[in-house]
Amino acid sequence: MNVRRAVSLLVVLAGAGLAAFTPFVVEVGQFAVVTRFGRPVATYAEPGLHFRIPIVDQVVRIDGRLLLTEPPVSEYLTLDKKNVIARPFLAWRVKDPLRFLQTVLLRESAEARLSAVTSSELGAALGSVPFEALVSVDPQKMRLSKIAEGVEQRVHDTAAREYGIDVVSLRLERLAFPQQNEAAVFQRMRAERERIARQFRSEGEEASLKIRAEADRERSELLAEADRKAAQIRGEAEAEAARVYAEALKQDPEFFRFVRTLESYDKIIDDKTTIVLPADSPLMRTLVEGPPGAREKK
Amino acid sequence: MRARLRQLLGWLSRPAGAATLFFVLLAVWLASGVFTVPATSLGVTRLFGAVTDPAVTPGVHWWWPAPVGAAARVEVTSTFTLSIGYAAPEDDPALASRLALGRWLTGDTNILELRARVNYRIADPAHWLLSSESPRDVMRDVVGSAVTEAASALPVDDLLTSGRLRLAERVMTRAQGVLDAYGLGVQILGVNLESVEPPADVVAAFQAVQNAKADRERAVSEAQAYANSVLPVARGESEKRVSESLSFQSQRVNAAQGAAEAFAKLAFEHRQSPALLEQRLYLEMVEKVMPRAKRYVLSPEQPGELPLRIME
Repeated sequence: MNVRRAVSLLVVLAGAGLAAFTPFVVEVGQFAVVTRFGRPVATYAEPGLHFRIPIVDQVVRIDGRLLLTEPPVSEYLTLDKKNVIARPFLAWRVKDPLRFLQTVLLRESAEARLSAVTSSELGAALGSVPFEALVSVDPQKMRLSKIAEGVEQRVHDTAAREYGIDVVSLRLERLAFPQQNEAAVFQRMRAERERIARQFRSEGEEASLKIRAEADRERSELLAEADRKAAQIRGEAEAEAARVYAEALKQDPEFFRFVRTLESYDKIIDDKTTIVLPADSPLMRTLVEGPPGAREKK
Repeated sequence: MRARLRQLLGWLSRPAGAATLFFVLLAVWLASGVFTVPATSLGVTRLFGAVTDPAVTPGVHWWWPAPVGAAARVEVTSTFTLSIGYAAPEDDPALASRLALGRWLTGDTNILELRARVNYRIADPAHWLLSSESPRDVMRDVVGSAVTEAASALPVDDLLTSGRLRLAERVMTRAQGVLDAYGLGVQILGVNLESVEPPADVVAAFQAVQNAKADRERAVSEAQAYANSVLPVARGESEKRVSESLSFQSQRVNAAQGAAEAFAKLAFEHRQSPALLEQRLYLEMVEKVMPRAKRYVLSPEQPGELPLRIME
């Protein structure tokens, strides 16, 4: 009887003990805060099996994964009064679950606060730089990454201090112009394109003229060079011919003079020439008086 | 029927019956822990929330079923695709219509519409599954921001031509760096820029530039064609002129030589009988020349005015 009572007492005690420590699982990427009558008594950051006292203790689970928040897209004004639309996003995770629980508790309110901080920090940052710091082909002026990093740093510090949130990164997914400014941008783009098109056309004309002029110049150079060569060859030919001829004539200059004189008659006398021949000229005498032999016989 | 039920309950209320039921349920629960990992995947097992094996190899496995443990499979060999510039961000409908077009600012403050597809694979299944709430949304935003950073530093003409590859490369490196810092367990395999175009409002102006460029090229090639047609002709012409002079040279010299030889022969004859040859040459010339001209013969026995009259 005594033994039986002791056994049943042990069973009851064991049951009570087990009940006092109800097990619960903390998943990876999750925080669990155990509250006793609303007051946090333990925080579990590591995954595994843990225990709590039923009824008295409540387990509050907080998502510890990387979360994405996209604050509402809004319009900002740069230092040089240009409107620009920025679309930021934050990647963040809970770092201090206790602080998170005490200040924001719910993810929705955390996102609302992060969005508010981001908007005001972004407004301040964009308002203190000229537009060309955001968008520029000049690496000296282009500071978009730096500006985003600065905003990230300030939002990070605020979120860590106030809400126990670790902002892993804050980046600008998009920069854009508001609709009313976009029309002006398009106007400017069109003007720019027209300028470039004109430039291309005049470049084409210039290159064309240059190539043609170059070709013409080359052509006249070629021809001039050929003419020079030809004239030289002709001159040499004349000289050579003269030399060859003179060489032959030197043998009998007297006879040459006679032959040449005869030849010049051929050129001098044409159908307009009138020749008056005396009848006793040697040419006519034979006609008139007969051959010299006949004359002598007579 | 009711009797049967009562009998079953009676059996269960006995210790042996309860024990049997307990073991049957236990066996069923344990059997539900069998899972297969396909060849394309890796498994991730957890026990009481903590990861026990982040890379369970393909095959049939057993792991503690819920609520004690959990097993999941993640495809690691497949290539997944994320589209950028196609879908609208949902938060602002007024803005969405324009951001939906995938408009980005370029470094020289132009607006371009970009569409890209990002190919990626899951490199670390445990991280992909457990470290982020919505890894694809995070990726989309990260790639978008990488495009913003890269595009706002490049001029529009680069982006429309040679800069496309550079943009894709920059986006890929930058996005991968950020995603690695997030520990998403994802590897970007490539960023394909599917289209980079000016918005419809200005596309005609960009087309005009292309036309002007084509005009420039045409003007140049026409001029080159002119040069190519003119120069060979000029070369031919100059060669012709030189060769003409060469043929003149040979003609001239040959003629001179011929004349010289002819004269030499004549002179030789002349040496043989000078008077005879001179007489012959003289008469030949007279025969040739006289018929052309008007001829008058004056008799020496008739002096006076008569010849003058005839000449009139």
